[in-house]
Amino acid sequence: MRFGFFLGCQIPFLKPEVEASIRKVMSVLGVELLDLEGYSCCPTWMSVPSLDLNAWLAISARNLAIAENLGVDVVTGCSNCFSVLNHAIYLLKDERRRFDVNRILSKFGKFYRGTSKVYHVLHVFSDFVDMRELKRKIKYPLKDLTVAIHPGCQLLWPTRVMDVREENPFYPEKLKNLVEILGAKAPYYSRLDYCCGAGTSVAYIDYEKSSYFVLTKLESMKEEIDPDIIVTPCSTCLIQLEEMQKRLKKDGKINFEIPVVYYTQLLAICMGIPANEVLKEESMKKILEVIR
Amino acid sequence: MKIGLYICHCGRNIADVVDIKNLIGYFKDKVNVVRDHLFMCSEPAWEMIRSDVTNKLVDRVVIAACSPYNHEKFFRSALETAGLSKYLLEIANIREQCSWVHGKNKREATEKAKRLIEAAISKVKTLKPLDDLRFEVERSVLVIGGGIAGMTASLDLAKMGFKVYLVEKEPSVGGKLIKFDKIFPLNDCASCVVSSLMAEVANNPMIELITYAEVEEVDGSFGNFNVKVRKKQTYVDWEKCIGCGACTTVCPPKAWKPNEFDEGLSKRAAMYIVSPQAVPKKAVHDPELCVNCGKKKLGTRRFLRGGKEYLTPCEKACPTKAIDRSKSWNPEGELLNFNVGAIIVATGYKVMEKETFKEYAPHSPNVITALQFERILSPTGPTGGKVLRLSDGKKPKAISFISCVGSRDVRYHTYCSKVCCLYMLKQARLVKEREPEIDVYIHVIDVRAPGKDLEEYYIEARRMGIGVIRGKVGGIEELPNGRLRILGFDADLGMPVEVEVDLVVLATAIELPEDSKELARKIGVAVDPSGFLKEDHPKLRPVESTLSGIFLAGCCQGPKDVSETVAQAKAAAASVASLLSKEEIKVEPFIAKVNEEACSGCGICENVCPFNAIKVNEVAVVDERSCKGCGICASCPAKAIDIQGYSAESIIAEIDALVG
Amino acid sequence: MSLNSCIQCGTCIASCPSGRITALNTRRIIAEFISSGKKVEERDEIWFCVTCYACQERCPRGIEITDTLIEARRTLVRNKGLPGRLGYAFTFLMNHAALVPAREEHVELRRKLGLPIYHAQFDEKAKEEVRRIVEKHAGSVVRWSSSPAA
Repeated sequence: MRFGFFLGCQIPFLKPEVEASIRKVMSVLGVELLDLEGYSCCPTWMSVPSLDLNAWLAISARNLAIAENLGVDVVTGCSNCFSVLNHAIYLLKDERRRFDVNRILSKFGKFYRGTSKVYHVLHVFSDFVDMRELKRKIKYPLKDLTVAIHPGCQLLWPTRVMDVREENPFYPEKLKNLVEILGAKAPYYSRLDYCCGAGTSVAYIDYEKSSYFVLTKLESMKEEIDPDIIVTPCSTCLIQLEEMQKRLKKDGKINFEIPVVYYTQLLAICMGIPANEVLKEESMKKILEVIR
Repeated sequence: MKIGLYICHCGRNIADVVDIKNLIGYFKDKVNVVRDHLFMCSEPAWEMIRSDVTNKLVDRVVIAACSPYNHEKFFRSALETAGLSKYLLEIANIREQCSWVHGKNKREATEKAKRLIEAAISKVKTLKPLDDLRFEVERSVLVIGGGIAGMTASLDLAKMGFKVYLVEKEPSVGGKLIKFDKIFPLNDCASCVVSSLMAEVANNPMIELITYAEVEEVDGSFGNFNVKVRKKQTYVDWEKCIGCGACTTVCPPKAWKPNEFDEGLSKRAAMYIVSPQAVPKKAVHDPELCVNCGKKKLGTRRFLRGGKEYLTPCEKACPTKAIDRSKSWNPEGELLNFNVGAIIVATGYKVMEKETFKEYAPHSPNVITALQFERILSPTGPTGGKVLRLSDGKKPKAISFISCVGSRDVRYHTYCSKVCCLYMLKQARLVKEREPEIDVYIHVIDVRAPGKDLEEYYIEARRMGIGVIRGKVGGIEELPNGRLRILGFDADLGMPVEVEVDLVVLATAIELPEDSKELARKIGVAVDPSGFLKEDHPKLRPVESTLSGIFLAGCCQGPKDVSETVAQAKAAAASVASLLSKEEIKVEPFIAKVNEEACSGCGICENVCPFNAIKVNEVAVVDERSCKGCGICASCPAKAIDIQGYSAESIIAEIDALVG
Repeated sequence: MSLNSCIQCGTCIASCPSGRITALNTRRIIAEFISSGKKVEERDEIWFCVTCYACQERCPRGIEITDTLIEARRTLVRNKGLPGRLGYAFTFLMNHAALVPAREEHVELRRKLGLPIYHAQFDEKAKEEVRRIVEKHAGSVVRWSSSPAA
């Protein structure tokens, strides 16, 4: 199995340890990840798509064309990229738009065909890899750990543009099953499918309001299931939840701080990959003590 | 022959576009009489034609007016009352096919009208004075469906002296209404309304009640339908069964499944009686659920050591020996065959399941459909009429009703299910009456309470303190301890609201059951785009289907409440009676006619006829009842077949005149 | 113009996670469009949409709410520029083909973890391509939004 690995902007530069964890886990499972040379920002929702349709589709198509040249489907770690690229594919099914976009791309010697599909890293585990394979590779199952799962909204809706989708997007099962395979408990809490608030423009326009999204989520989590750790498959959510928790704590709105981790980081540790290779120094101690 | 041409102005519908004076001038010399009138469909115009015929000025009539679909029958009767054969009439459509579509080209429209009228004149010259066909009718009726619609229609027909075959697919009649507790607007008990009907229907000498049966095949045409009905196998001798229910309690735990009558809220065994008020009250055996106690399969006997015969718990429990598993029961049941003159389809509705609506937490046992809640409210239901949650048996402190789930929605059904607003108010009022401390909220897009007494019903509900929140619900989230959070919106306050309740009732949409669609296919009744059975005209002929002799009544034709269902059932019964009350019926004679001398007996017509209406016995013979006059057989290579009223001669004359 | 078929049922704002906290009220936006013709692109609060598509997934009339908002943003931005700090983020995107600047410490961390570096930020040709696309289609807006006057 090989995929083109679309990194996005946040993972490589703000959270390179997440990228390391993804790469390591994939290699253990025998999935080959190809680098997409020359890729750029997807472009994220709040930027170019809100500016100009052709510019957006051209940049997305440019990125997809790189993958097509290598003959692979794309897998990405960030839900924003997943959503934007899938939307671009959906809109580019229209011939007129495809023609306009290819005209722009031809100036750079690229051509968009629409042959590559876009999946999320999570989908590789839930849909492409055999569950039993995965289970066998787990050396250190988690015990007595309550996990609050946060799939993130861009991964769930809108279902019509996705190739791999949840059967019931309001009660997402994929992340839940994957966490439970590691041995932890992933109980349901009422704000599970709530948006984290980072997604797009809100954080840049009104930081304060953006923190309310996280506050609602945290309160629901704490009251209902009191989790030890939050697991998310979206890098944007990861950054938002971490940052906002610090700020909310500083402002005195909450008096706890739950460590947040990306799914593959947890998976990597369970597979026996040394923790310092997939976690940043500062957070490492905290997370490890929670898991053990 | 003397041809009379009558041109209609149709108010200004025709006169504004087509130059009537021009037409009159043009045809003055081509026919015997030309007259025009503002409205040819009026009484004075009719008089005009009649007096012309009586005074022997005219013996064939051409009317240039609107589409024959509108008034053909009317004009024909005008001829008849004047003593002329009603089939010596031809109508030229100069409205729908001329003035209405060529509004901007008056000159060309007038020329086209001339052509159309010339064609009609040419055709009328070739017409023959035909007589209606007359058939004898069967004075009996098949009613499919034993709910309130079917039972009302059956009783009315029985009163009028017709024999009725009432076929119901469940073991008991009663339909959905016996599942209800009370019905609006009087809040009277549903069982009282229905039980008396059920008893009457079972005991009426003119009604043959056939339950646990389904219609398998229908052949023929109105006046004489040949019907095959399959009575499903009950594996219980209904002659001996007294409905005591002893056998229904002894099945082992594995042989129980969710009870369809209670909408899945309670369980029934493999031996069951459908409901406590079943008519006929007889036990039925479900072989798919049965676990064959003691490995004694149906149709076998088993002997224990010592020679004693092994009897299964159900056989032992029955006091009248109605259950005998050793008999060789025919799993196909019994096939009945009989003839009827007309059919009424009254198969009712089904509600959508909650599992379809993924955003409303359907897996939670505290989210239920309105029909399930009706069972909870009903004294014969799983809680005996107490308002309790079935998940933990506790009384809910707050209940929310959500309307328009699956209705008015492009993803499921775009129509409005019509009854939900009122039944939700009814259920809310019943809750408030029994347990006033429970908080009740209803989330609506609008409240639809049309007609007599219903707006007042709604106002009373508001006075009781039921919270009506205007704003559809986006989703339901589950909280721990089984509570539910509703993500709603209050349009009157203009802000989103979140309501935490213990029980949520979804008013899911009403639709036609799947097997009704199958049935419609067998009979030939159309299903319209909304998914219900198609009536002939939504305003003027709401109980007639598109086929003569087959009528519709009740929710199978569209969502409606009990008062409208009963009205439709009575209307259907009356329509059937008007059809079958005479000794014979008259039918238009536009059927195939065979020229026996020209027929070579080749048999091509028999092969191509889609209605099996023509058979060859040396020469072709037409079955006048079944022939629909479609004309496929008229392509006979020997030109031996023609359609009366639309003969080859007539059609060629029309074409010649049109292309000039 | 399918916005006219909105029956104001309220499902969209009932499911909107942003609507509870910010001034974004999709129902009101459409209501005011229907009653007084006020265009969606004249409303500043559409930037508060997080494009989660919860409303569009559930609308019983099938109205493409989120898509309408995003399309309206494209017109709004030409009239009023980018709000808040988006202007800066955007200029960076145009010049460096990425949303997030690659700081020294992160690049170091990458090297330490043994990860390759090939983002467009570092690839001159790729950077140039993206810059040209954005420049051509939306360049004027970006420049305007990130100037001190905006």
